[in-house]
Amino acid sequence: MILRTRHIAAACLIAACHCAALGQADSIRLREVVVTASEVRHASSVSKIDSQAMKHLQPSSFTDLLELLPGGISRDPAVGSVNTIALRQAVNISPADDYATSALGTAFVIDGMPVSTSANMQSTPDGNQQGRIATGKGVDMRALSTDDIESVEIVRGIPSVEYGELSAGLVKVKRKNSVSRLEARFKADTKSQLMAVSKGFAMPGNDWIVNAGVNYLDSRIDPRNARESFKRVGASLRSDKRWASDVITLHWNSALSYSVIIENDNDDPDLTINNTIDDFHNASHSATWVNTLDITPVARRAFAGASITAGAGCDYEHLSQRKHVAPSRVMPLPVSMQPGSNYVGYLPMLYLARYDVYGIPLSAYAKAVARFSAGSGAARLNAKAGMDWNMSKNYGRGPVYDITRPISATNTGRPRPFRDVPAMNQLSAFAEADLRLDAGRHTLMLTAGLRETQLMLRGSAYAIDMRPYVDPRFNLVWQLPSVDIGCYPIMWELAVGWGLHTKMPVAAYLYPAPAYIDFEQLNYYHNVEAYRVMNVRTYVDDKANYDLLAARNAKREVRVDVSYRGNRLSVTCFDENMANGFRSSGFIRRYAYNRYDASAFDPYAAGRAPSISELPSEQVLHLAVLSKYTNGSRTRKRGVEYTFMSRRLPRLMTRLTINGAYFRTTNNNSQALWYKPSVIANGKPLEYVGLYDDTDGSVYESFNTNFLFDTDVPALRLNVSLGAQCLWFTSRRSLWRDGVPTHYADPQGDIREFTSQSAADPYLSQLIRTFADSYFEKYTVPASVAFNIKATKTFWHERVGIALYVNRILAIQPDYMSHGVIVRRYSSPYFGMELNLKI
Amino acid sequence: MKLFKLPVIMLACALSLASCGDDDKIATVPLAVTNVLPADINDAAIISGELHFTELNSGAAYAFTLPLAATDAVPVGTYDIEGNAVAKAGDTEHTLRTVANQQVISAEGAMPSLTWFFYNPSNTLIFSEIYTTGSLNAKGTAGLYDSYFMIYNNTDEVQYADGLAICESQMLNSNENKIVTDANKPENNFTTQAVYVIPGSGRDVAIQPGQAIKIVDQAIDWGAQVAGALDHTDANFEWYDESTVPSVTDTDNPEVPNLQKWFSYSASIWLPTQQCNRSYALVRFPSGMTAEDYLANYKGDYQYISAFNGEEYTAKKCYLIKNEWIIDGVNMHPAENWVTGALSPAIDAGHAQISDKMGDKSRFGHKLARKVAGTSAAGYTVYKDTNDSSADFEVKPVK
Repeated sequence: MILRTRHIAAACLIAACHCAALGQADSIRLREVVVTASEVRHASSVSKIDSQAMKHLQPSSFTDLLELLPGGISRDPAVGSVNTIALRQAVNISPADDYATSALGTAFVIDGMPVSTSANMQSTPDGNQQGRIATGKGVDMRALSTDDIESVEIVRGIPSVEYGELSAGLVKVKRKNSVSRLEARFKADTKSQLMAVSKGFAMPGNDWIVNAGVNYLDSRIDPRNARESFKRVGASLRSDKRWASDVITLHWNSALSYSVIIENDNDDPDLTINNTIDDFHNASHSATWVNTLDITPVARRAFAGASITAGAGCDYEHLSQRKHVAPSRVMPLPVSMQPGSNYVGYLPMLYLARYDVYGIPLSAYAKAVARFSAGSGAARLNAKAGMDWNMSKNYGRGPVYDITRPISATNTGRPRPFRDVPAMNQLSAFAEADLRLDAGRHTLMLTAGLRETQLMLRGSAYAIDMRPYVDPRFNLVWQLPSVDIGCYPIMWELAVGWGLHTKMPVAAYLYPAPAYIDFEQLNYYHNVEAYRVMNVRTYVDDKANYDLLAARNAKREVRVDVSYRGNRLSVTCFDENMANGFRSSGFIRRYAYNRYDASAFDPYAAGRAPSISELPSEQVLHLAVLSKYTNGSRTRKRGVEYTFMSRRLPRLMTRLTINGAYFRTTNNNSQALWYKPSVIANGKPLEYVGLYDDTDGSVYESFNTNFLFDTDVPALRLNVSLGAQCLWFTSRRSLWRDGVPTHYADPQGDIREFTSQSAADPYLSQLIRTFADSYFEKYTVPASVAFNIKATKTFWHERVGIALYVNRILAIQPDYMSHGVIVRRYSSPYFGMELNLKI
Repeated sequence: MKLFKLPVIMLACALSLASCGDDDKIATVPLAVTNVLPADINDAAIISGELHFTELNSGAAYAFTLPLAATDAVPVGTYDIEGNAVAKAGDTEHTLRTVANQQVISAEGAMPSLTWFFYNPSNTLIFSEIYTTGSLNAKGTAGLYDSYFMIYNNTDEVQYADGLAICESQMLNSNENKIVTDANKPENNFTTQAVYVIPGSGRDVAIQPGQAIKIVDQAIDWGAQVAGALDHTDANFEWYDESTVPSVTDTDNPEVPNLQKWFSYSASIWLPTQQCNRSYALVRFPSGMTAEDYLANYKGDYQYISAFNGEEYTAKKCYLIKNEWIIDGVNMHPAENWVTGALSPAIDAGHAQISDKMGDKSRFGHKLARKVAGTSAAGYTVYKDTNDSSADFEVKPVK
């Protein structure tokens, strides 16, 4: 490494001496190959990843691309669970349902149409398979193939107001619309095989191109287990047609896409005890059709053009499980759909449960934008204004199963058809001005926009219904005069941005299935089967929170951009605060039911089981905490992102890219939380519930730097890169909590203040939660470095290409001490290779 | 080279023969043990008793009466030692017992240190069988909760079980955590997380000599539903938990009386350990003690330092049982990962194991049963109760 640095230094010196002679001539001669994400020269912080970078990265799914963002590190594919996006977030945070709004609030826009996940409601009560459920977590990136993608723009900062229904960021995907040979890609890595074939056809007439592509991924979660797999098939047909007249040019882009992901996780009945069955199968088919018509006048005038986008998407999701269920106890079987007193039976001790969930989320989208321009020379104004509408509704049958044979013996849920959930419509309008002022050698570029949006729920009691949200967003770029140093100008650019971003709750949050809660009133499991009886009081609770509002994220950022001789450094400081992310929080609920006393009943004399109407009873009051979706999660993201990209050094043909980020992410509750401690006092559960306004959350930090040396040798048609990914540290610290409630609810459901007298009360004092000091200590994982190599080479006029990559070919992960215990870290390399053909 | 090697090998052989001759005579050293008496009688004197030494390599056994005489001597070696003694403090005599394993006695002066504990061999009611693993469920993958405890009258007189409690330890016997709160150290008190009491006013639940009562989780005929499981419709008592967690509820057999639930850590149902890694105590509370008195005065939350990360934590939802209230106790744990018992060594100096390995699925359908010691003068079976469950229990199929 030292040698290489010296070489580079020497090369720089030589290059500087010959700066006048080199320069432009070189840059023309060398192909401009960029194998990393580049920082777009834009008003906001945007990473752009093009097809060359993807070719070099050799991804299997969209998840792999995120390694290229500042702060990103390479990770092995994990296709056994949903892959959610985490922009500008410390790398050591495990996805948690209460803090999923960042992922949910990152919009994916493919060929102009947002990917809608609002009507996704799939679920399973099987705890082992929760990780495969994407409901409420946004786009599952496993399902997105990277083949057919021309470029991806990931807006980490403040996106244009043209894009809404997002809180954390925007991923804009542009697929290929160009004439090409028949291209084929075959990839194999440790856990998967991938094939993709595509071609761009030049159609008869002028300016009409049709692209077609298919791709297939077959992946195993563990290569040794053929019964747990993830498969993806994708196909698309895209047309791009232009008409030009003397007055206007028309551009019509149409894309028809289909993809399916199939997950299997089946136990081998030949290996399981007594050949029992445990099968999980999930298939999600998705079809979309999107059309964009763009009109641009040939002559420059105030009306600069317009575009209309219309599209629809329909998914067919079928989750299917078969499982032998053998309870360890005799379990009552409450099945009533009606509230009130109900007699219930018992579950058998072995049965084959079948559980199917059918979801058919449908979404429609339309957008119209008009563009205007004014001014010329020193002051130019471009403006756009438009509206968009989207609708989503799930037409699926929802969970379909025999309620007397649930997939989980402790199941308390009941089926609810998804199609009963009403459609959600969202209408938005936006206007944005893009002003460019050239004042001498200074240039100011201001983008200022306003987006108004509302959710429309039919005949609704929801507070969010028709509630307008206004998102102002600003980005200002100031290009300073360049100063010559040596023979070359050094260019400075300062940018600041601020904006609000709104993400509406999804159907699963607004319309959760009702809760069925059954309390035992009579429990009479007599030795004589005919005399057995069990009675429960069933409560059917609406879990909808009618006060649920949108999640809003306020972003601020400052960026400095310096360019010199083709080298560029960009540093962004950001601060994002979302105080009302979605989470599940407790609400106090008071239940009353009767306990019937059958001790005096003689079943032998009566010749039958007792009935509750003839038994004495006493009323029991029970306080419980019922969870509902609220806006109670705060996510605060702060940090510094940096990217340095050197120019390709002419003789070494090598470019150094350094990027990385320091992230500090705080996840905590923003609203007080009700909590009922599971305490038994005098033989009975404590019937008090405390309201805690302390912070249940953590601060996460991570700091990394990725060094990438990529050498492009055009003569050999070879590109080799060596990356060193340094994760300097990660840390986690729980936020301070005193554990003392501010209020409490008594068994009657009355809410009272928790005072010093309460703290002295033997029962109420049980509400005080104690935390050891060590609970709040910072847990730091020290540095680790991983070295990755990647190479691509083409032959025969670039008709044949081969590529390979090895991640963590060397990993330096020193042991460290944590609370007196040595923690050892291990990792093994992950590798793959691929063959590319152009016929 | 070879010429040089031969004399060296011969010399070595000669030397080794000579040394073999020396080794055949193992040195015998005078016996001098250090006695550590219970803290509240540490000035007492041992007036009688015996010590039994077993050398682990040779299997040779040696016995000595207490106090040791100056002429008492043992060969050097590694010994398991157990002993009984009577110690006199003032005018009071105390019966003591010690168990010390793998004690080295060497010619260089290494001598055992014996920690003595109070020991009351006059047992009355004891756990004769403990079945917490459960029979295999209908799928054959895990255990059912057809668990039970048998309480046996090990005397020749009628004994009464009402008021007796079955208590489960809060601590796992694989626990390496350092307990900070003195009251919760096993030698001082037993820390429990479940207290279920046999109802009655003192003379209601009679157990005849040689008879036992069966206390079960769910008093149902499990065998009618799952082949190979037990029929508990004949149980004397069941523990029934009125659950407020709707997803987990119990059954209540009206023909089998319920235990009184004084305390359980669980808001739903109490399940004895299927992993067999906790301790159980049979407790006779002082007369007149009510659930209210107990819960008000014996709260047992404690501080401990985690062996895993060295951090201090608070354990909650537990109560204290005074060691003197315990009439029988059993530490359970597989040999693997066994660390120390949640019961005082005075109550159980060892541990009973249902399997060598944690998670051994062959443990299902097996119970811990006390070994038979002999027959009493009146002709009843007497079970072995040396307060060392390693020696007292054996594993038997439940059916």
